[in-house]
Amino acid sequence: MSLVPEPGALAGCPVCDALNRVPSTARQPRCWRCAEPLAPPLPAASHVLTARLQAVTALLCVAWVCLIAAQLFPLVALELQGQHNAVSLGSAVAALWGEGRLPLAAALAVTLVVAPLGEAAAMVVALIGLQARQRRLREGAMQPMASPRWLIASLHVWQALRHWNLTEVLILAAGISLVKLGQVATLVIGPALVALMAFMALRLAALRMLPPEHAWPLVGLRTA
Amino acid sequence: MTLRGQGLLQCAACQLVMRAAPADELRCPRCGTPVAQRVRGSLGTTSALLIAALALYVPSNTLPIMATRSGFETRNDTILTGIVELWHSGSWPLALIVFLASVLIPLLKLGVLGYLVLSVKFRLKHEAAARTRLYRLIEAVGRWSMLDVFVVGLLAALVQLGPAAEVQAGPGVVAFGAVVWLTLWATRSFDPRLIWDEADD
Amino acid sequence: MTEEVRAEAVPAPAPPEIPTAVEAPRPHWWSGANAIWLLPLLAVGVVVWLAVADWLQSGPTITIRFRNAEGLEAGKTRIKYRDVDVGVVKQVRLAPDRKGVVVVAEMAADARPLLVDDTRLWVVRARLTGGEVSGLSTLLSGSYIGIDGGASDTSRREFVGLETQPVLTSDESGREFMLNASTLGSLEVGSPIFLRRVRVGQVLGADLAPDGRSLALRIFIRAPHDRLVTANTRFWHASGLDVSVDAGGVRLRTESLVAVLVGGISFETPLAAAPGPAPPPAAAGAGFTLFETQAAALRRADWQTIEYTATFADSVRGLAVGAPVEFKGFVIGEVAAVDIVFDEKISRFVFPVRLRIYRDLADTAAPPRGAPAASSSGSGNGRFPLEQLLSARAVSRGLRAQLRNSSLLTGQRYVAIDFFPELRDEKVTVAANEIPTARDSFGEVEASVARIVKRLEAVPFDQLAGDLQRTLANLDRAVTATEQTAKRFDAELIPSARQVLDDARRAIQDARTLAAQSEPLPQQVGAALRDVGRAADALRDLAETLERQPEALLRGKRATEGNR
Repeated sequence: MSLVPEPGALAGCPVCDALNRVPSTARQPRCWRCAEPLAPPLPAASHVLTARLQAVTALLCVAWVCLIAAQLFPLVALELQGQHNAVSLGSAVAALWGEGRLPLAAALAVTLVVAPLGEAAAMVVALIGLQARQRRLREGAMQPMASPRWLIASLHVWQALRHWNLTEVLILAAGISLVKLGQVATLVIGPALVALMAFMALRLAALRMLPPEHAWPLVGLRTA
Repeated sequence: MTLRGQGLLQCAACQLVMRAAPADELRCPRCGTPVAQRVRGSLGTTSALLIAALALYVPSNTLPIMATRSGFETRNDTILTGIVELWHSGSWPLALIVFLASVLIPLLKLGVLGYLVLSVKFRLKHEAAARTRLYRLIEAVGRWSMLDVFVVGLLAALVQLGPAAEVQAGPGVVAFGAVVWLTLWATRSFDPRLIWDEADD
Repeated sequence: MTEEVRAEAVPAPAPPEIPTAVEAPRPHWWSGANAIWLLPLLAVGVVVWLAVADWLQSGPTITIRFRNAEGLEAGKTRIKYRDVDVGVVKQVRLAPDRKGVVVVAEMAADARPLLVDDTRLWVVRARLTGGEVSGLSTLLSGSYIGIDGGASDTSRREFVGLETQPVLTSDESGREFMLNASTLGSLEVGSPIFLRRVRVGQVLGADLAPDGRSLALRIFIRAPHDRLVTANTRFWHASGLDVSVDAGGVRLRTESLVAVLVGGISFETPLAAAPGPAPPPAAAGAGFTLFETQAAALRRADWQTIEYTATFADSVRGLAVGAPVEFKGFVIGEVAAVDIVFDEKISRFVFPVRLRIYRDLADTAAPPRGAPAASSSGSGNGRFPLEQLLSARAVSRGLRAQLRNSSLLTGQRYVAIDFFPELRDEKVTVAANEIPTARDSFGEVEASVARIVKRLEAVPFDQLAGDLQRTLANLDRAVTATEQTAKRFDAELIPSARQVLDDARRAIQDARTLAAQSEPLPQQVGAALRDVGRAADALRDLAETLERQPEALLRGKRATEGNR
């Protein structure tokens, strides 16, 4: 199997099942039948790919820092009649858990803590693995080479958690809460909100540069 | 020219196009995820999840989602009364947003999914592209229904100021969250290729 | 930027680059497709369970009619039975005839047995009546509707609410009685009823008699005290401060602070005069009279009285109708009337006072202050007919009636019947049932003062003065001798001895002044005597010291004694 997919690769449309042939020059190919956006083709040149991998890794590291900050620092601080309270994501989950609202706490935890952290972690792990694999392939290792299980697992985790990451909804929710409460109490926007927005921006950039569909072709076929 | 027509499969995870083999259960040679030409039992799963979501939609709107206590006054708000309260207190953009996210989108999802399922069930052939667009719409927009759940969660965690003000999440938010989750799941389990299958034949 | 790519028909066999799917059967012990149906089942089950639970919990809906809806809010106002939430107001709307409001309320399921024919509903607001402040919490949390279940069997869903909170809940046991009063005074609905200062009931309501001349008060006495109300029970106004300025002096009586503020009624069952079993408890609805004061109430109506007349020549100012007639401090009757008559025989106005004397000594209203009550079961001094006391024989022994001041402060007077030995020989003619009178007591004061003065005059002050002088002279000599002795004493003894000397000197001076003035002034005598006493004390100390240390006379006191 070649290093990169062939130009003019076949691609099936996940929506209408049509068989497409995607030319390598297409930047945003769409299905011929239903116009569903298809994954853009990988760049042919390997150094572009490597550079891209590295860039995404760097982005992700910064994103991770932002995410940690977003989890730990307070999102919003409230003051009313002399009473104070502030929540970060972790403390919100803990507070809801303490109030007995277990399903709600679990929902927040999964979508706002576990999913983003897990997704970002899986991405980093996958990227590291991919970069290592690329290096080895360039150094002339044997082909075809089965990828290690953890690499495949990390890609799966990445794809799965990507679906559950709802941080952009959280940002809007925080905005709404601010407006709702701002009428009766004094509110202070915490650093976590800014960190969240930064994380979102970085994550979007990373995913644009390397969608998981691009990562998969770099993974070798597993022997059964 | 479809994949199925050519005896081909595409892995949903890694997008690898492969040849189908005559066996019941197939796996992707690259990533190992189970593959099939069509999502197995898509209609059944989607219908079941839809019915569950529909059933829980009623209590999600009748049960209160948030109880606010300020001073001596306690008010229990359902989704609708919360929107009305926002509207009356002057912040109508907020009311609009919450209405969109918590009333319009869930109803849209339920309606569109129901329509799609029925259209596939009854083998309707018309307007496959339009139906696909509808599907894409609800897939993109579905997650935003969680907005109200997050707002309630944030407020319930944040506004704990003792006698001055206290917000508590009500049972309705669990029902509503379940509705959103079920519809998200139903959207994912619906195979839009089924729409095109009928159009092809 | 879109680019649509046309697919090309791929001829079979497919290009070799396309890999083939791998066969990998995985044992399914459950069919995922069918297991999914558990979810909708679960969801429907939850919804149905919620609906059923809600339906089971919801109770009947009732309507209540009130005159106005002040404080009632749809969705918020609760209905409470014994402070437990049993329902909530759902809707408040105008009555069809626009003369009231109709409140629609949803009750809890377990409140069903409360909703019967004679159930009462009222609005609880903060109130300050009936001697108690109640419902203050409604100021903060809003009014609520109180409900009191009735005892009837017929259930009912439409009610007419009471405008005021009922004084009693239906489960209070006790008895109702009727009181006939001439004035309401400071009583109102809820005013307390006291028995020996213990609150045992309350006023339920008051209605004017049709002719407007009296009031009928409905009262309620709680069990078990309602058994104490018998046919002989007397009720009286215990409202406010009972400030009576009467022959007994200024009396300030009050039942309790509550009674001072909102008025009240007291009652008591006086001990029966006639021996026999106690009368049974009065039946519910029995009627009684409400007296104005305790004295009026406890006055026995069945006392037998005889009327006497005592004619006074001096001013009867301060003698009021009802003033007591006392014999040596024991009340034996009361003044019935005070008249004025011109006596032609002596060409002067005289004042015949009609006295109502109780026939029996045992029939008196109240024992004198401090004395035990006379009772028929007493120590045997039982019944003594007063007619004997006021007989002609007694008159011949000096029995007279006299006006006396009960208190100089108020000027109130009473009639005192007493024996005046000095008038024994006075010749008086009395008609039947007439008591001759003696001069009134103002002259008595003068006479007393005169008597004191006479006695004082009888005191031989000169002789006393002389004796005193002599005694003091002796004392002086003794003191002088002591003084000389003291010169030999230790320095420690001198200050005290000096003190003794000073006191003694002062005493002598005072006594001398006294003797010189020869005035019968008790004060100075007293002072002098006090000084003498002090001197004597000092001398006594000295004597004690000498007793202990006889050599101190010569050598002085020993310092180690530690005294002085």
